[in-house]
Amino acid sequence: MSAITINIAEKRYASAARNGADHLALSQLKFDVPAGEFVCVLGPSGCGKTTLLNLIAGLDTAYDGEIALPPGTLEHLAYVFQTPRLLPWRTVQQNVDLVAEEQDDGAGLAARLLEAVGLGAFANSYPGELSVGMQRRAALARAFACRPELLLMDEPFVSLDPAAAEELRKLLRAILAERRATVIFVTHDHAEAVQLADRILVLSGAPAKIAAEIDVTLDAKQRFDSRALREFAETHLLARDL
Amino acid sequence: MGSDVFKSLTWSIASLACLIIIWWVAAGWIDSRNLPGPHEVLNAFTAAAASGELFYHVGVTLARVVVSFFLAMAIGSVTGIVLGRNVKADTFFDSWLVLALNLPALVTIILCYIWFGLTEVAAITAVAINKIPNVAVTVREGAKAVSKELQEMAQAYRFGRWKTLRHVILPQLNPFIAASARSGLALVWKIVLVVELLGRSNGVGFQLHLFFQLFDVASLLAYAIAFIIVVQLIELLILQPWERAANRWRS
Repeated sequence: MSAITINIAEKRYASAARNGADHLALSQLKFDVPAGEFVCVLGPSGCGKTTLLNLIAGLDTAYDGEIALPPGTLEHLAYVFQTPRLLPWRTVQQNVDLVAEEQDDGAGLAARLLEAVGLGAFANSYPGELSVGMQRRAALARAFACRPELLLMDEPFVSLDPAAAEELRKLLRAILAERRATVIFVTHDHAEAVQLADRILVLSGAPAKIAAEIDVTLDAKQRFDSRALREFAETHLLARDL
Repeated sequence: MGSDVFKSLTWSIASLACLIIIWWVAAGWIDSRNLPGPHEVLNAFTAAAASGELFYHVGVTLARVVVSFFLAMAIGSVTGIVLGRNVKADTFFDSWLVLALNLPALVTIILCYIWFGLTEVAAITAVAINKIPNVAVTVREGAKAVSKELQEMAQAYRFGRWKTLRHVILPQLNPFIAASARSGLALVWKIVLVVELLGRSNGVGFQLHLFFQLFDVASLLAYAIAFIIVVQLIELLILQPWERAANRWRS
């Protein structure tokens, strides 16, 4: 596996709010992600983080620049959106199966993943019957069903209470320990970034620039120790006014 | 819930019985062969059924309804999806659709018979053309409202065209297709009768024309009632269960 290189010269939107005048969303944004790394892109809301993920996923191809993914990555790309985006008219199991079915052991994989996220008993429920937290777990199971080499995550644990969000972060790390993948995770939450990332890219301004790059040196235990977490965030992020 | 169904069924039967009694009294009071009573219609019904004629003509009409209904639903749905998902095509073809919607059914029927002859193909085509614009307009509204978020999800996970259509788009269009199917059935069978009356030598419409010439109102009503029963059975046994199955996820 080789690295992902991202080099966006410019991304503009036609903005209705400004009488069709262009809105510059991203400009001169350049970074690499080595295979297997967990990168958190940390920045305030509206700084273009979701736009960045949509460009990487190939959902939006109207931009200047280049995004180079290792061959075959697009076939094994998973995207966990800000809302779960499950198909409400398919059961939880069917939602995961739809993504898994291209795989050799598609059927067994879905069941194992649902078991892993604690939804084994809800496989035949419709998403509307589940709580938001459970829907987010299902979306996580679906993401791993395509055996991702690259996992894009757009604030996937937002709007959950802090305890539930932390539990899902633990779950994510546990699954990733078994199934390696390169992860680009977008968030505005410092603690979340420190808890999860190998490396944090701090974005600021509009259009967003990389204000800092921080390697997270905490070990697995420290990441879920609130004091160690706070200390790291204070010295590396807050003290530098990021 | 069971008692609710029972209650509404009881009311339906009571109100139908009421209607039959009014009809009976009115027929007895007017005492004309132009308004036969329920018993005379029942006699005409059993006679037509016993000779097998009723089943033959209802069967022929039903076959025409089924063929033109599916033809109209298929072409109308595809048109609606294309227009709903393609702004340019919609802008261009919108006025064609308005024209088609306002074209009187009778004009389409006469033109089809003149252009294609008094044939089965002309008859089916005429019925389908009358229904296609209604389906297209209804399904178009659904296609315009298709969720962009789910579309992106399907694209990110590389669902491909067919999987996206089957699992993402069609379930969203289902309520719209079901609505146009129900109103469609009611419209199609009425137009089929006109088509038969004008240019076919069998079917319920042809028979009604015959009874009109003979002033046989009892047989006319017997055929009408037979067909109402058939259409209600289709509604109850096919369309409603299908709609329930499609909406199972809305708990």
